Amino acid sequence: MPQPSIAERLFRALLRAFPAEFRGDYGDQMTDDFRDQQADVVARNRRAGQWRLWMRTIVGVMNRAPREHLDILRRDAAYALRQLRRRPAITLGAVVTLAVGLGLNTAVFGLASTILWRSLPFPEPDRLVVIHEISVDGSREGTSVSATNFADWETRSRTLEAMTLVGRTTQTLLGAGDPELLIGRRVSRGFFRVLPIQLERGRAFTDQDYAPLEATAAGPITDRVTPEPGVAIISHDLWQRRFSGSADAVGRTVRFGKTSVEIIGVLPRGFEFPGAEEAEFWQPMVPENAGRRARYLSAFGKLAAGVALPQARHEFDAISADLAQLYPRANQGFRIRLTEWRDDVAGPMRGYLWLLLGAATTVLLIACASIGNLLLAQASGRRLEFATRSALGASRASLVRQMLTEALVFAALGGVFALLLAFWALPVLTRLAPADTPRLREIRVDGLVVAFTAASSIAVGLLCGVLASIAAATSAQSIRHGTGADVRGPARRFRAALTVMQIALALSLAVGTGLLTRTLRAVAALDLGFSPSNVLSIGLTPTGPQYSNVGVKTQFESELETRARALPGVIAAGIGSRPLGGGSFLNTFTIVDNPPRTVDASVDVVGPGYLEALGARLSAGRFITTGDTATGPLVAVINRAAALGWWPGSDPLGRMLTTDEKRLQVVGVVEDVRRNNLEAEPSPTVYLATAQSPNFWTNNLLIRTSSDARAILPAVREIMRSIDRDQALARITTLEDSLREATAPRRNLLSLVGVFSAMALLLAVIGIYSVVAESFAQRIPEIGVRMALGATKTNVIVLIVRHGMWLIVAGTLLGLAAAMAFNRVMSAFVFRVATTDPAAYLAAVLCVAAAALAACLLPATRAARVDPVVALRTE
Amino acid sequence: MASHDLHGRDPKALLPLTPAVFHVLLSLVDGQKHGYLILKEVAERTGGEVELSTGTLYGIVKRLLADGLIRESALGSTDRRRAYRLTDFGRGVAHAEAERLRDLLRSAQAKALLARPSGA
Repeated sequence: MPQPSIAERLFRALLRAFPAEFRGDYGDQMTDDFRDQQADVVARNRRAGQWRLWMRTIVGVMNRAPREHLDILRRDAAYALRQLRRRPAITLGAVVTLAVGLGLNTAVFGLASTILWRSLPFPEPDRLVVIHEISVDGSREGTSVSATNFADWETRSRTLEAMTLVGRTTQTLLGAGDPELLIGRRVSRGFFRVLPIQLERGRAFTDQDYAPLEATAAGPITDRVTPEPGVAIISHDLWQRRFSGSADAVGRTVRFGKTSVEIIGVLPRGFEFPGAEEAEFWQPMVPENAGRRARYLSAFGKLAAGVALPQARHEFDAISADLAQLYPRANQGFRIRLTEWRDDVAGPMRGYLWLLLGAATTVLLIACASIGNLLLAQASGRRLEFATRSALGASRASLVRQMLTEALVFAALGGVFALLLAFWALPVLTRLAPADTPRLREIRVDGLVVAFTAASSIAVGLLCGVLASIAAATSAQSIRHGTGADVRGPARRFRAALTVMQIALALSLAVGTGLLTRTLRAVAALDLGFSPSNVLSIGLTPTGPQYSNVGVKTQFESELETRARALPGVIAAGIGSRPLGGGSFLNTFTIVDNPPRTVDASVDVVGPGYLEALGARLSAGRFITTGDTATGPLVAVINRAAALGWWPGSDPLGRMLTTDEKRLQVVGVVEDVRRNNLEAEPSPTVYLATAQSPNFWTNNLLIRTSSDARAILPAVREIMRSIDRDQALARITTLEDSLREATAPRRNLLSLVGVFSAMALLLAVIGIYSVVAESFAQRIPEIGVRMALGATKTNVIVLIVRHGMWLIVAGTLLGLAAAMAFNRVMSAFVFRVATTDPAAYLAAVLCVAAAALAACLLPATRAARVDPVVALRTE
Repeated sequence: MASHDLHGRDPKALLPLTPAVFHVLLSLVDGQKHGYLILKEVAERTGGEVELSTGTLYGIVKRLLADGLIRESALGSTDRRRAYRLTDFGRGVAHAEAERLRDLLRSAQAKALLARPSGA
């Protein structure tokens, strides 16, 4: 046989672009034809003809080959769909399984991708940074910065092209209807340079808006009325709600408390400032010179063009070292940290999101195992079909391709339903996410989420398809080689392994659920230090210039307390900080002792009746009373943590503390009251009397009633209207509701992981059922023989269950090992429960084993009902 | 003369054909041919206007075989190539396409877009 020419070999190489089947059918003919064409061209001795022939041939192949591939795919898919239609129950089961697995993943991915990876919805988001001051020793994970330090950074930094300070504020909007308390933000000059957003209407702040504030801020801080800005930019929502979206809202003057404010702009729809999603108005701010140690504002910056974050960090390290040297009292031990804004927003959510992703992936893995299992079961049922096709000339490759196509069709169907499921599940996830989750409103099914679903569907399809095709190819071959009897062996072992894996995965999720359940119970069992039933909490807003006079504010508070206390059904009422909320200040005290010691403590300024209304328990001395007046001796009530920490083993009553040159006498000790972070151990706290601390703002009225606390609300509104018509009552809630809200993140996480865990268990149970049921079906003749020979029903049940038993045992052991291996992950989510908590592990094992055993019993009882005669006939 | 095939298929159901498919059918009207001869006949008949590649040809052949428009037979024991010839149904389809093209042409002539051939 003559050696093929180079041209012929090239042509053969070109043919490889076609599917093997097409090559097999026409490859030789095409080569012969090509050879003739070549000979023809050569005979005519035309070089140009050679080129044209090659070009034509190459274009022809490039044009035709993809169509041939597509043709085969279409044919395989049609065949696969016919196969699926022929087994509707199995198809439905597989598609639902995949839809659930993929759908959960899609929804969780939608949540996680938005928070972790999507750019902030601002211009040039990658250049935006957050600036924190943190303590070098890590004791204070500070998020706020000092305005005075900030001013120095602004003049020194070259790597940031713009910087801005942002501070929280509230204003009472007056006008038609009840006064409304609005939450807003005040921002320094650089704000619109950091975020050059296009306003819906009106204009951004200009230097003219800052000028009047600047003049006052420069003066001395004492004895000066803080200037109120005269302009505001409002959110799109507020514009719609209070101004019906009218075009002339911009330019209108409204009243914020007693101040007239001109609305100069409206923010675009959907504008949300991370961490200030609730802000409805924005005003200019020139921070007062409150000293370098007053760290209470948030700072943001924008990297100059071409500057990378490490460069900016380097510069700020130098700046902070320099400022520490210049102002050691305020800045020693502090440094500046720059973080990409998006990462800063995502930071606190990272662990939570990865836990959810992990749980969802586990469910998907179990779903994959289910599908693989199903296809393997089918493969052993379809041995004859594969063998026939193989005998008719179908190559091993074409069988593999067929199985892959079937798995991909499953996966594609599953993917489509998964997307539908995600559309429904994503809002549920969003609702169950912790209330302070950033960027919730941005979360939706977008292109990235769809791409993720598509990619994971394909990956799942390939994974399951490869599993099944190996089994198909093996079984076809073994039948052809006459070894049909053994082929089910490897497939069955493989299926058993998959089932073991499913049980293991389901168990590890169940352990997680158990740990979270135990944690929730531990949180519920905490001693709060107060009693939340029948207590109404109302936020007060004594803002505006009229309350800056000390006497007026004290008068207002005492009148409110007295009249509230006089209402029928009221047991106690008092003014203080918001329970379970923030609002406590950290202050430094000096203990008058020999030698004097300085200590840090939270300060809570409370009126008479507040601690009684809260239900705090007195352990020594007395509460704050109406007798603790501005002119009387200064008093302090401390909590148990302070008493034990400062005067261990001795009586704190009568001891003296000093702060700001004031001497306070300890007159009472209360049990520790837990605050906004329920799980944090209460720190030393000092309660001061409102009448004796005129410079502190207290903003909450607590009323304890003998029955339903909310019933008292209309009467309180009436009192408020008669004292000050322009006061808005805000944050009206009961302590029970606040407590529920405080524990909601834990409860919601538990319900999410619980749902995932239940799904995982369900899929695992279906998996074990199908394996045991199939093995039962194969053993019907054997069971018939056994029963004919006198085996009892119990014998048969034991026989079948025993088969499932070792799968359960193996899965349980593997699952326990997996749960132990991952218990480090769980340590971030448990509270007062060890990640190796035996009760949680035991409950999970019992639950999974019981469910799995039930799945075995179903086919076993069916086996026990087998009629020996019928069974023997099936042989 | 558009005749239905054994399965009762109407040849017109396959119309219109692509020019390449029509040329392949046309080249088989006067007898069976193997691939190279089809390529050659088409090129010669069209004066080199239509030159099919082997890839295009066998893609078409595969479709025509599957649709029952042509049939294949071995050329001989020495040649790997197979010869293709029209089935009755294939001939019917080619004829129907030719009629379709003729009708189109007539329409163009009626609108005086094309001159009628003299003597027609």
